[in-house]
Amino acid sequence: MRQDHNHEHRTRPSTNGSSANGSSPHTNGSSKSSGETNGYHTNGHSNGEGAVREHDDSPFFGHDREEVTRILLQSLSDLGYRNAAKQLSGESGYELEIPSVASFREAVLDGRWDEAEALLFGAETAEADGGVLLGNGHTRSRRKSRASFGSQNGYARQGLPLAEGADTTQMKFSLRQQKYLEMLDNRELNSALKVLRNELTPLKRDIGRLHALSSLMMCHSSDDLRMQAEWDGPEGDSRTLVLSEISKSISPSVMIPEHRLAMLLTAVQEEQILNCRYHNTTAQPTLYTDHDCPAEDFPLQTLTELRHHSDEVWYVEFSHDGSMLATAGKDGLVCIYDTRTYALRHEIREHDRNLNSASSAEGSNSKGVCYVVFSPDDQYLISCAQNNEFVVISVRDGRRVAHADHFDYPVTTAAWLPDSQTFVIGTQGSRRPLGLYSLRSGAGTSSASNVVKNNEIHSWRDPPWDATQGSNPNSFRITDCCVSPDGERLVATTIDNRILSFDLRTREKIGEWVMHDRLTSINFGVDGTQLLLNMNEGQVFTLNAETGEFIMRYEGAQQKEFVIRSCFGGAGENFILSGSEDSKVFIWRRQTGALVAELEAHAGGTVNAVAWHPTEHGVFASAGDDRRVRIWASASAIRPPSAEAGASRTSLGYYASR
Amino acid sequence: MGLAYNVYLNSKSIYGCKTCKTHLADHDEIISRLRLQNFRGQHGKAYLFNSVVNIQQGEAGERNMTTGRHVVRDIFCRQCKEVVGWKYDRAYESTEKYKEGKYILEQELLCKVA
Repeated sequence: MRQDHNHEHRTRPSTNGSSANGSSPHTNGSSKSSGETNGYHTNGHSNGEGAVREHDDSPFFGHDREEVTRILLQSLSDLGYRNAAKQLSGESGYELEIPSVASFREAVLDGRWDEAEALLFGAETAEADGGVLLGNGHTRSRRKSRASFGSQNGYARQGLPLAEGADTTQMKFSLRQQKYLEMLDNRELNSALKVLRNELTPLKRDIGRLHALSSLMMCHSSDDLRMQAEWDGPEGDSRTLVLSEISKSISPSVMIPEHRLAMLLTAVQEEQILNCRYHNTTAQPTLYTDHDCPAEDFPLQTLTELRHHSDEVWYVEFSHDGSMLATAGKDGLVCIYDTRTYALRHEIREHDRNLNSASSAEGSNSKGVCYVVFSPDDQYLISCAQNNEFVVISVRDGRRVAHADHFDYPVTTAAWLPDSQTFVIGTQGSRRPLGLYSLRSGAGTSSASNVVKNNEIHSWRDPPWDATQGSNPNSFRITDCCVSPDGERLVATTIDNRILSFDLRTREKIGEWVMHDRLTSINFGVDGTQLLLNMNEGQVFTLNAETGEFIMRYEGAQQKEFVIRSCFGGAGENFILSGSEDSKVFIWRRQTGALVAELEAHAGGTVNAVAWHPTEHGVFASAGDDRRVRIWASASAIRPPSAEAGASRTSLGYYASR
Repeated sequence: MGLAYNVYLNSKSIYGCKTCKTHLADHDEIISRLRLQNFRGQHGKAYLFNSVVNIQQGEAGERNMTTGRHVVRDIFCRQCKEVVGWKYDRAYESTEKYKEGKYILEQELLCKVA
């Protein structure tokens, strides 16, 4: 079969029917639009020898041989193996690009703009130069019919086939703009002006850009021009960029999109990563095998349980460097543990001091600590309590450094700004619902014996507090808040189901979104673009931090009456972790919403809070009503290290024996 | 069982627990005084409310009151667990039936919350 076709080539050179009109043997019956071809062989014309090349047309494992070979040719060239590319081209009989495309590419990179444009769109008259005409002297080459599209000669006349929806005016604008800029750069002002007038302006496109370009004529020197136009000159990347841009509009079968093989490989890998259930790593997986993370490496098992609390544990959080874990609960106790050994480092009972007899009654809610948070430098810890106060303690020595009790209702939440000196406090009070506080006292220094007290530097309230009025109307009350990682924005949730967003520099409110049910937890993702929220009943979802648009819902957790919290976690924040009222911990894949695991965590009560270790991605903690804090790790980390496992496992391995 | 925030009422005039200021009832929920005599609790004057928030109920028990026999249960502030009044479960006299399911809060144990 193959042999016959080659014969056809030789015996009927004038028809050029080899590659056009869909009946081409080269296309192997795959659907390509007529008038386009990608099947160009070196018909023996170009090398002048008249030798016939045999080319194998059989598909390559179900794929078109020509496509695969040309993509390989492109990849070899991209990798820099030009000789190998030439060899492959010779051996297979396929060329990466037909000569006119190659000429177009060279014309752009060399700055021969008129030629480039002619090649791209087709010249009106025959051109003697340009080196594209082959020596057949076909009169055929003058015809402009579509039938001749297939010929290599025909391209010189018709221009290159363009992609669907290609904007020829935009392409011309690009080319001519580069021409103009290069002339200006070369100080050929008259020619540049001509280009501007006769070539750019008649396109009637992008008037704003035209004005900008004309104003560039005023530049004194080429350096000035380059700076103003943000252009790096003909010897820089600008020509390559123009080529890239235009090549997107050329039919992909004629000019293969850049780095096609790499793009295909990336797409497959990304697909595999998204489908990988336990993908808890940011390392690039190998191309040699299909990627799938094993469950043994994902934290699904209990490493240890911490039992210091005598009542429900309401909050748990790791320090930013991962070296400490803080827990807080209904018994008014705050514990700080060392995460290497989970030994108790500090036991803090700050809030006991301010209780009156009634609030220390048995079973009362009054002394519970509902929120703790480490400062970004891990020097301080804020503890927010139900007895209407918060305390800031120094983590190193457990000493109190700041205190505020000018609240009439429980303090529910706190968030630090990146400077580790200022922080936001949210409360359920209407007088001071949301405030900005500082560790620096008014005097400028806080000495060792001074506890900075009630140092509120700004208060957010709606309507603002008017001290002259006998009674002020009620303001919003805060249930949770968070500060974006760059310290620019503060987002807080209120008791009446609203999300309020403030700019921390101007301290103005910049947004308000109304939700339809009670909100109990809000957190920023590490890049500041996503917000993770918990809402009644059993809704965990992410929102776009700028627009408030819903991104992804995570289903399964239960929440109806109590405050349940969630967090981002894992390598690359690939996971969402949440507590639930049915005693389980839920883990989902952040990007897809797929449920990864549903773990029985704290029997008989709710799982109130969860936290993922910030640096050791195989560890997370959960806190529940059963008075325990549970540390979770992967099966492979808990197992005693085997000989080939290596040193990295030993840090957790010894827990197995505890 | 779990952390739960208190309910906050939105009204011009709110009664709260004297000890911890937890919101307990809206003034507008008081059952019209025209209909009934002043209530008296152990500590003096008291009001009958249609609905209250943030309370926990105790065990029901029969009590003989000036108005007759009733089944009542004490109610406690959810936050500090102090008694703030009682709830009428059942009234044996037909003239007292209107109290069933309603709550008494003793003025002495309340404070006005802005």
